[in-house]
This record gives sequence, C-alpha cells and structure tokens, in this order.
Amino acid sequence: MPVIEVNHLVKQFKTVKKEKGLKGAVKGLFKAEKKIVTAVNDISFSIEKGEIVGYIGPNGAGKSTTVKMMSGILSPTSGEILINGISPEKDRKSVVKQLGVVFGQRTQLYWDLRLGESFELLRRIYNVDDDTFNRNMKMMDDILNISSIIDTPVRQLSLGQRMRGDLAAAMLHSPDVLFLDEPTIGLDVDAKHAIRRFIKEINAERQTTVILTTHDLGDIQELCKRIIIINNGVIVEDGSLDDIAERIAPYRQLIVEFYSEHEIPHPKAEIIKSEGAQTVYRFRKDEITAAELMSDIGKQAKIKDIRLEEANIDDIIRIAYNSNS
Amino acid sequence: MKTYLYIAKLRMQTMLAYRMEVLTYTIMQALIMLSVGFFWKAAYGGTQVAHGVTGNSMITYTVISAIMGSMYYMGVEDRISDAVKTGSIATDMIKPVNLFGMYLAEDMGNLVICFFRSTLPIFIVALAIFGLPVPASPQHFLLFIPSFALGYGINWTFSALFAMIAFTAIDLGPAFSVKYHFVNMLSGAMIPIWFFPAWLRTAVNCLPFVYMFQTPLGIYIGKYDISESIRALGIQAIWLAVLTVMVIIAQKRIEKRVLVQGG
Repeated sequence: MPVIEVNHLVKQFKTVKKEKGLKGAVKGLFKAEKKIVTAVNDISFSIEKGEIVGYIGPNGAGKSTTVKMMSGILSPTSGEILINGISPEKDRKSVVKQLGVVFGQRTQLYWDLRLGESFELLRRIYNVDDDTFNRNMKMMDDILNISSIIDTPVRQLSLGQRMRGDLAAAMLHSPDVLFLDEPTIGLDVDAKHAIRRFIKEINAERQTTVILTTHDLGDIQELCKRIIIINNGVIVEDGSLDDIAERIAPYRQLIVEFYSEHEIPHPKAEIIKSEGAQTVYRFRKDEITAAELMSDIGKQAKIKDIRLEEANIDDIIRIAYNSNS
Repeated sequence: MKTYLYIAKLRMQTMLAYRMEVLTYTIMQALIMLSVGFFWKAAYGGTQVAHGVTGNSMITYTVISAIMGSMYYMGVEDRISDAVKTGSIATDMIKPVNLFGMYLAEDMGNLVICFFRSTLPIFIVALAIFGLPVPASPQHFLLFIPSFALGYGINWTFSALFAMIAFTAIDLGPAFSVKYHFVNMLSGAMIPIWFFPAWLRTAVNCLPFVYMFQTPLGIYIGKYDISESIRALGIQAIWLAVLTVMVIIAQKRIEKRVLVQGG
C-alpha cells in the first residue's frame, strides 16, 4: 500500500479582484468582483514508503498548496488525499501525528524561548516516550549538531541553525512521512549540505518517506530518485531525473577540436555549430555512441581535443516548466 | 493535559521576555482606575446613595473592575488574527492539538503572569489610595469568584469568536479597537449600566458584555442580593454555553476553509 495517495486533487481559491485607485476601492466595497483561481488542477500520484520525491515547479505552480493540503492545513476543493489510508481533511489530528512538516519560510519553534523548550513541548504534544526522545535527540545531534544551539533563543539563531532546529523538531516524534517545503531556501553551501545529509540519513536509517519542494536543483540531483514536476497546477512530468532527461532532452553534444578548420558531416549527428577549428555535434544516445561518432570523425581528420556534454539539469527543468505554459 | 500545561508554561516564559508591554499596560490600567475612582468621589459629592449604591461601593466597584480587567488578557484575539495574517496558522495546524485548547492554555499562562505583573501592583495602588475594597458580605465574595470565572469564559469565547472573523476577512483593520471600546462601554467596566436610560439598559442586557464585568462586580458590591446573584450566575452559565457552542461550530467551519497566505 502506498504511503501517500493523491487522487484527482483540485484546489480553487476565490480571490477578490481589486481595482486601482479610490474609485476602485469604493466600488469594491459594494460589488467585489470575485475571481476563481485554480491552484491545483486534477493531480494524482502515489508515493511508496521510503521514497524521496522532489516535488518541483516554478513559483506559483501549486507546490505549496499541494503540501498544505497533504498536511491538513488546507482542504481540497475536490479529490482525495490519503496518508497511510487516512484523509487529512477528515481527521487532521491523526494524520499530522504521522507527519513531520517543515516550511522553509516559517518556523514552528518558539521564537522567544531557547530551542530546547520547543523540543520539550513537542515531546509532550506527540507523547514521545523518554527512550525514543533521547534516541532521536542523539541522532539529531549527530547529524545536525543540535546540542550546540539547544540553549540559544530561537530568534538569535542564524537561518541555517534555525532550519536545523526546525528539521529536528519535525523528526522528534519519528514520523513516517516528512514534508519539506523549500528547506534549503536562503541557506549557504554548508548549511545546505548538512540538510541534504540529514535527509539522506533519516531516509536510509528509518525508511522515512520524504517529499521535498525546492528550487535548488542541487537538492534534486543529490537526493531525489523520483521527481514530480508541476506547472500551472498540473503534473507535467513524473519519474526519475534520468528518464525525464531521456524523454525531453535526449541529446548529447560532442565538441570536437581539430588541428585546422574542418567541417565533417556525419549521418547520425547534426552539426549545430562550427567555428574555427571547433565543431559541435548533436546526437541521440540511442542512435550512436560517443565513441563511434568520435572514431568516424577521427578517420577523416586529426582530432586535437574532445568534450562530451549531457543536457544539464537546468535545461531539462526549464524545458519541462515551459512545456505546459 | 500535560501538553496544555506545558503550553501555558511556555507562554509564561515568553511573557517574561516582554517586560515593557506589561508594564505600560499596568500603568494605563492603574491610571484609568484612579481617574474613574476620583470621578465617582466627585460625582457622588454629598449624595449618599444613587441607584441603591453608595459612593464607597462605586469606588470598590471601580477597583475590582480594574483588577478584573488586568486579568482579562485575551491573547487569543491577537493570536488568531496574527496566525491568519502572517500565515503562521500553518505551523499551529501541523501539530496534533486542539487549536483553541492551545490558545486557551496560552491565555491561562498570560493570566498567571498578569496576576503578578499587573493585578498585584494595581491592588497595592488601590489599597494605598482608596483603602481595602471590601465585598458586601462573605457570601457575596464566594459568589463573586465563580461569577468572575464565568465572566472570563464569556469574554474569552467572545474574543475567540470575534477573532475568527479574521479568518474570513483577512484584514480586520480597526475592528479590534472598536470591539475593545464596545466591551468597555457596554459591559459596565467603567460605568455600570444601571446609570443608563431604561431602553439602553434593556438592549444591553440582551448582549453578552454585561456578564463579563457588571455581573461579577454587582455581586461583589452587593447590588444584587444572594438569590439575584445566583440567578445572574445562571444567566452567565447560559451565555458561556451558547458562546462555547458557537466557537466550536465556527472552528469546525473555519478549519475547513483556512486561508494560508504566502508561500
């Protein structure tokens, strides 16, 4: 049974259209023009235990809205979400007991109090027994070095430290599922690294299912075996990064530098640029291997240097984002 | 239960971090108490009794009103409106707790801190200037206690209900200060409504406000005799029950249509 099942999920918001100027403001008092915005439009997916799924898409694509519905904060307009078989809309409390949720742009920690107080509260809220609590704290300390910041008031923590605190807070009750909404936003390289390591370790050690929304493609490359790409409220891609790349950007480029100016055509590769002694070939992996192409060309002219380029993740994601806009 | 106790404890710790806020609030309350107290002294002048209440009783009324006011700290209002405005409601809702239980626990924490930070200083000032605010009788004092508790409950549930409007109308603007003055005027916190004209009195009696302040105060100074006081407690209990049911209904409806802004 999948841990998370989402079936034909739709979320519409009513927004009031505001007209400009005083006239518009007065008009709005009497007759507000309502506009319906569809943030999430009929999406379905299911996620198995132990997966790390990158849920990505451009700003305003509907990522956070989906996460909020999955964590019981927003209720769907239609469709269904089941987390371990329970609907967060119908039984928020039972669902959130099994969830850890971190919003990169907010904190669930008590701002004015030392970090440890928030942990003590969560321990009571989730009824975590001493053994589990101590074991979890030890693990958080090993990965996130929590003990160095546990006595600092949350408002004095740096963003990276605060995020470590928030992640630890989300894991204290050993949830099955972890929702991370932009956990690396605004963090420096070191802090990002620590957080990625944390996600990998809890996933490996506890089989925690992780759903991660992010704009950081490094997060995706390093963590996610599967990505779901959403755009304009619709899922446009769902699969492994390699598969998606294979499908939407199956090309590789071979950049060949000769000793002198040559233009050598090849039936299975397209010359996309030829400048001085350098020629750029584009070819499909499934039609010819780089080695074959190289040796074919090498028969006709002496090659000085070569470089092979894969379609990079930025390009793939950009193509995917644009495919439905 | 231990969860909610811990929430109350954390709230106390948080309050202790904000010294000035409580201090200025206390000074304001003490000043209002003094000016209203002196006003009654002057207003009564030579008169002994007005509407069945003596001038001294009115000063007692004013002092106890200030003491009650200092304990009626309705943090729930700001808590809910902030939660909606900033979207921090999201982090409240990811916890498996009853939201209003959590907010009430926080206000219990506020109450304890307010008692030491606000109520005691106000009581000492009152003691020094007006003398001990003596209740009408020990029985009246004993009835005052539950009446005060019910008054707190009515005030709290009303504030919660009012703040929930914030869920539907994201920016309430000055609504909270309008409500504050409404409660102040129509609850008898400053001027008992028995000084109001009859038609206004009738109207105000149909609203919950008088049961927040005037009912416990009237009991304390003996404006109501014992049987009237018990009846008043009954009316308070009914109001509290009605408002509680309304809060529960509103909570159910609102949790379903929470708007989370940003992010």
